[in-house]
Amino acid sequence: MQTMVQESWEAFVNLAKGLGITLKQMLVKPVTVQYPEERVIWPDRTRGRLVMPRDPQTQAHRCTACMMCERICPNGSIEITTRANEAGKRILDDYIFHLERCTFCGLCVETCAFDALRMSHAHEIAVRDRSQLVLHLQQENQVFNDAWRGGLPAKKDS
Amino acid sequence: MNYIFDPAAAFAWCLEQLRTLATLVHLPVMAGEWVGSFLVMIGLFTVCSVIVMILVYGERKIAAHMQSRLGPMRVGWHGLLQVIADVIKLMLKESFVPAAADNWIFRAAPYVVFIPGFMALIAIPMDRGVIPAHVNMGLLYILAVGTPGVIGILMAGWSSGNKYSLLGGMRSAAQMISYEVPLVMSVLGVIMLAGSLDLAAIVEAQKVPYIIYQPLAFIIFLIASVAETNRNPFDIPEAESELTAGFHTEYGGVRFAYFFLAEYVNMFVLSAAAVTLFLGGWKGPFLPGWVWYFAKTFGILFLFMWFRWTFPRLRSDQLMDLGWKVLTPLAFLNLIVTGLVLVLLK
Amino acid sequence: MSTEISSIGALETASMNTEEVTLNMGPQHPSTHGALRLILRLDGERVVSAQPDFGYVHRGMEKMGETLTYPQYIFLSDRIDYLASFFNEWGYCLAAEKLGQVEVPRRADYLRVIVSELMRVTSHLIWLGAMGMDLGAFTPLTYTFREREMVLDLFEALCGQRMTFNYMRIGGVSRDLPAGFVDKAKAFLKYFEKMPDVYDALLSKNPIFIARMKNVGTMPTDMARSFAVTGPNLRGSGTALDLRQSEPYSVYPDFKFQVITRPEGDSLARYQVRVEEMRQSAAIIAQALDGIPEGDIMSKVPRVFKPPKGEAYARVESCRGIQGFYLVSDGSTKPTRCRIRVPSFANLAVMPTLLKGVHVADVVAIMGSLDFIVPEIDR
Repeated sequence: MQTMVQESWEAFVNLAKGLGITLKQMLVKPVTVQYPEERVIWPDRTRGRLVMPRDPQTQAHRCTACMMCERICPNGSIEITTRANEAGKRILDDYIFHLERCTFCGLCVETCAFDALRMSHAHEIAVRDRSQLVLHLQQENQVFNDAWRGGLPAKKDS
Repeated sequence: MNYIFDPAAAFAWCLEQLRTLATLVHLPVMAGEWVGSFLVMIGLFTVCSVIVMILVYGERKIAAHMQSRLGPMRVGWHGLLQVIADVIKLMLKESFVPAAADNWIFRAAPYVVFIPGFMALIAIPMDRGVIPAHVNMGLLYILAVGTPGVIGILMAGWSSGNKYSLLGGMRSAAQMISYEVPLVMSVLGVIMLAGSLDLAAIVEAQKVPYIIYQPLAFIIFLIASVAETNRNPFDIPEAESELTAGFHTEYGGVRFAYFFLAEYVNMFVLSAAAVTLFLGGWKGPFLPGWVWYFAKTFGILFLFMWFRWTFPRLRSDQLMDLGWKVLTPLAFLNLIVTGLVLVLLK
Repeated sequence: MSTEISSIGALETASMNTEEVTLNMGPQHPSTHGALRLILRLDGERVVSAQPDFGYVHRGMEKMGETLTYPQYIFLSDRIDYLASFFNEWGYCLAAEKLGQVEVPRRADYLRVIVSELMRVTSHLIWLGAMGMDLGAFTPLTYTFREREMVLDLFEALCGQRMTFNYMRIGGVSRDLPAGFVDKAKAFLKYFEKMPDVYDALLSKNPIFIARMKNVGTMPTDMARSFAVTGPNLRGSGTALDLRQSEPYSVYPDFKFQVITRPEGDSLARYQVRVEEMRQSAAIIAQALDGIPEGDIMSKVPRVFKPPKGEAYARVESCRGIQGFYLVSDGSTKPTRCRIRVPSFANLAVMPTLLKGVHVADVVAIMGSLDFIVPEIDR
């Protein structure tokens, strides 16, 4: 009898403790963020849409069309076509990036020996038409102007 | 005249005006009363809807803040119009009947669930003299009228032609039967103290709120009413993670809205009953009676919500155990002790 | 005695003319945690038999392992069990390193331990919340997600993603700690220290929760072993099998921690093991953060990784049990066979036995306490 009373009392106290926690939480400011208006600050390394940074003045990019990224990409989301320039050297013709297939694994950026690619913080990348997901990185800056503001990154940052 | 502090007088005045109006247009005086009753019904339905809207909004906000969220924020200031948007959405939805459903029973069930709750609300005094329908055995009336709701739930569960719904309906019936007993038994103590079944008389009889004399009965009543309204931790008939939504799995649109309405009206009725029986109804210092009545009722309703957003749910057999093996004996014990004390004090 | 009962049962059945009902729980159901279908035979509220039907999320992970090169597969292994990504990566890398005889620098190993133990904490947090939700308590879920988000922030600062990290590499890890990571991680640990008390008050000590979990789905240790159940489920049945201690890989011998076991084998025991494991993981992380050595994070691995002919099996203690990778190499850049041993599969296999004769409501409790991830089962 005594243990039963004690047990019921303990049960009661523990129920009350649970109630206390939810009540206390009610009085604390919620942790959620009202997304479109408020935004969290992304860490530097956040991997968003792939971009090919360019020099703001000369518009030059660093891609040498070595095809390493195309080869490493597990999903085949990178297609590179090349042509010969006036000097007969192989240069980049078109850098086609299939955003619809990209999983943002970042292997292309990691494998690039010339630091020509970056993962931007662009994450609001929904579009209405699938064809808009096929991007030409070497000639872009129209669709995702804000994707990469930094210009050419310094080489070999961590 | 200050009608805010004397709604009873306002009520009487309105009826008087209607009577005068009736005589003016050469109708029998009774016609005024009929129109009056009709208007009271309409008014009560409006009040009911508004209360439900407040409750739904309140529940969503309370739940959200208990969960470290913000809840509805988009429609109106801090999401105040969210409920209205939801109602419009439910109204505009197609109300379909599943192919496997038992057509007429399926269509009728939401109203069978809703109407008893609404009927019970009529007999609860909101202020001194403000009772939409003064029944001199009001307590018996609300207990009796509140019960058929379960038939609606059973109808919904049966007619949906869905196994989850059927399980939910059956669980609900079993639950109602087991919790109706402690609910009524806990109330008997109050009746013995007040010596009346008239709800207004019970409130008048409370020099101090009966919760002081009958704390155990109050707790039993509270637990049983949570169970009666199928709310967590006793929400096994609609257990979302087991039975998807139990008896209203197959419902959508306006019919679902009626289930929703019924749940909150039932909650309000039982809280109002708890306030009337144990917390002194409309009585309270300084403020007008109806303010006290609503404040107390919403206090109890907050408790309901607080429980829901804190506790896990019981299993059906544990629920039966609690009802029959704990609450019912305790209610009897309470009854016996109350009777003994009353006899000894005489 | 037993015949008496059965004859009474038969009598009742005869007079009431009851029928068994087949209930398809899933593939779309709130508490199957993914697309899993349970075919339940019900007698009233009692389960007569249960048959899991899975394969709705089959993605051909093993076959894809044969078409992708070794470094390419790592990002995919994240998706085997999306709540334990680091363990998948680690298992795969260990197997590949065994194949190619690659040494891993100590610092990289420490980083792997830190992220994996953080992963274990997050996975257990999600499980804890989901467990509460299965039993009808919605609030703990939001609390555990709040804590999990803090860890995910750490992950994002480290490797740029919150769930599918692609962080480990054959022979090390891809990125070193960002500035301030250690402090942030320590701050999290400090914050996290008192959180189990909150969960205790909401769940573990709540009498309703205990009533729902105690003596429900009791799995004796023999049964657990015969079904090859591993991880917290096995330890909840009283067998202290934890690869981190019994077969220490990486730098686990450096750390002091306990292997938590409970003898009861019921849902509550499995629950307690996991809650305790979160504390132990926190202890490991604290030790690793303090003892992290300086040095390289990658060893010298050729750009085109071509392991010699042979086969290798490596396994890690994931948050759900033993996660194993078996790789066969023919000397080319791709494995010819990639077999994945997932703990959830065995944890699911024990379900039909556990579910016999329980209530419908207990199905959810048992399923929750076994903590399987459906995409991992289907691979």
